[in-house]
Amino acid sequence: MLSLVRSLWEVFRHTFARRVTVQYPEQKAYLSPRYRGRIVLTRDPDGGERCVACNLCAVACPVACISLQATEDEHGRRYPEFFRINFSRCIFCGYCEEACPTYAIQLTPDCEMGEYKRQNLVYEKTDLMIDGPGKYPDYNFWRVAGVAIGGKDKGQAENELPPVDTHSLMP
Amino acid sequence: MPTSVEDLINPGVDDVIADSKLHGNIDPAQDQTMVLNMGPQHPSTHGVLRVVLEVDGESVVALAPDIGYLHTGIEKTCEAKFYQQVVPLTDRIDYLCPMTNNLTYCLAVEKLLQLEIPERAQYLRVLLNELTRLNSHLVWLGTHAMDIGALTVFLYCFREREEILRIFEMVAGQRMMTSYFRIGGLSMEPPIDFYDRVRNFLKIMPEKIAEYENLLTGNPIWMGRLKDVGHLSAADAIALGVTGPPLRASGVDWDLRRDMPYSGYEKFKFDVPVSQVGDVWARYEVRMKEMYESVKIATQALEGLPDGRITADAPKIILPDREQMKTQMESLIHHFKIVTEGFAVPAGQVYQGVESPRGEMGYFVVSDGTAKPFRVHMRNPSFATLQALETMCKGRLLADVVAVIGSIDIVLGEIDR
Repeated sequence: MLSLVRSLWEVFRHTFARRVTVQYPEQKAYLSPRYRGRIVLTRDPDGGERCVACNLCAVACPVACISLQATEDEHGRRYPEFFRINFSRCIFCGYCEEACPTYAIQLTPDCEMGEYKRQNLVYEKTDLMIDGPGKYPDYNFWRVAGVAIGGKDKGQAENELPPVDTHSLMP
Repeated sequence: MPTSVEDLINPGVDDVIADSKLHGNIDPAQDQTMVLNMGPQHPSTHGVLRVVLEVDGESVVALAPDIGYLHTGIEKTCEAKFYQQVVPLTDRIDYLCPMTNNLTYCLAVEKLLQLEIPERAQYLRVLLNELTRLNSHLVWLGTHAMDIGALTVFLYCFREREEILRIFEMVAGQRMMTSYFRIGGLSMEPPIDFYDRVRNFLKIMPEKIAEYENLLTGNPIWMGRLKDVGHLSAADAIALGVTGPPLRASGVDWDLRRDMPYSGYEKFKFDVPVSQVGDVWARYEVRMKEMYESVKIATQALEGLPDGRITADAPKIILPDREQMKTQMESLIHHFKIVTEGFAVPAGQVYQGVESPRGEMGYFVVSDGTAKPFRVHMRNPSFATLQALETMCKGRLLADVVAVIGSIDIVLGEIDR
């Protein structure tokens, strides 16, 4: 008997407690910055594509949902000719982000990806590419990489010394 | 007509139905019992468990669980993945304790690799595992109470579970499929506000458990449905391979965390709750006490958290630090090698058991010296505990089957894998 009264009191007390329910479509739940949701391709601070089409994300993916084709522009800068993620296969494990050496591929706190047609879950590069640098605003791979591309020759990258002339005896 | 347990199990449950009275040809004078199908869509079977029951009126004469409706082929899939790629698969075996499965797999492979895990990573693993145990026990309590008819408890349990899932989301990036542990450590350092959030949660948790107990423990309906139901003797429990809370509720004092410590559990002080009764009520009591103990362990892990690295010192196995990768060629080469080729694990076989919320979760990993496992087998606590279902239910009422299934806390994803 006493325990029933105690239970009733417990429930009564809860009628005045703070509501924990989130009224979802109207009120969005908070997602942490680390949340592994919709995958995006980012750009470096200059606005160029970060992806160098090294294929590491495609290899790291446990479900093989990423496919891409590498190509080069006229300045020798590698980029993916197409970049396709099949989100109906993706398990959002974040391995692609972990593998990406240039911070190009990133997972974002967005989980609202419902589609009526399954085919629409195959995202092409135009769907994936965003206009900003994402979580890493300052990193610019092509500014620090030693490779020569149009407008930046060997030895002109940040923290890089000019190349050594191997035919000269001078130090 | 199935007359014995062997008849029910050996020809396969579907044959039983085919032979049984559902298809006629039975002498009505002999016809005392009825074969009843429970599940796979029954709400109290916790997923897709089908139980074929032979009932005489309302009492159970024989019973056979039919599994396989949730078969995913995870064990086989593991053989086609690199060692590090198996971690996301292990999340999906038991959706209520992903961190425990991550840990068991990582510990097994680390044993093969003979890796030394830094203390900080061990403590964080213990902390997250105890939170996982709380998470799992909260779902068990909520659904168990809901099966019996106490819906309020379910709502209260899920309120606290939400906070645990938020913590997981904050630290790992996802609520259920965490994939946070890596072979050799953790995938990343927890965020700064993680510690305060966990501390606050652990502070309020004991009074919340007391709240659930207020609603249930003294309640005459709850006691009436749970006490003296589903007895399992210690001898039966050991013979059937039952582990975890059901084993301890039957009076066997066995907990892998204390008796075969892993991941630094020997450094924590906690009690192992044991009951001698062996009925559904004893299992309820043991799990409730275990929740208090989990809070204790998690608090110790949080307060005693040492500084240091979160990954082992093994540059050929663990992905290098991002900052080093930007300046050191060797790091970048290691990064490319690990991602594209994986890492070779010395040939051999290893078994690692871990006390999961449901019992002994074990991974048996066989390596042939390549970068992909030759075989990964999971020893699941639910699978063994489900075998004890008949022992517990025989001769009892049909309604008690629901209470017993709730009390053994099965996860079908784990059974079928």
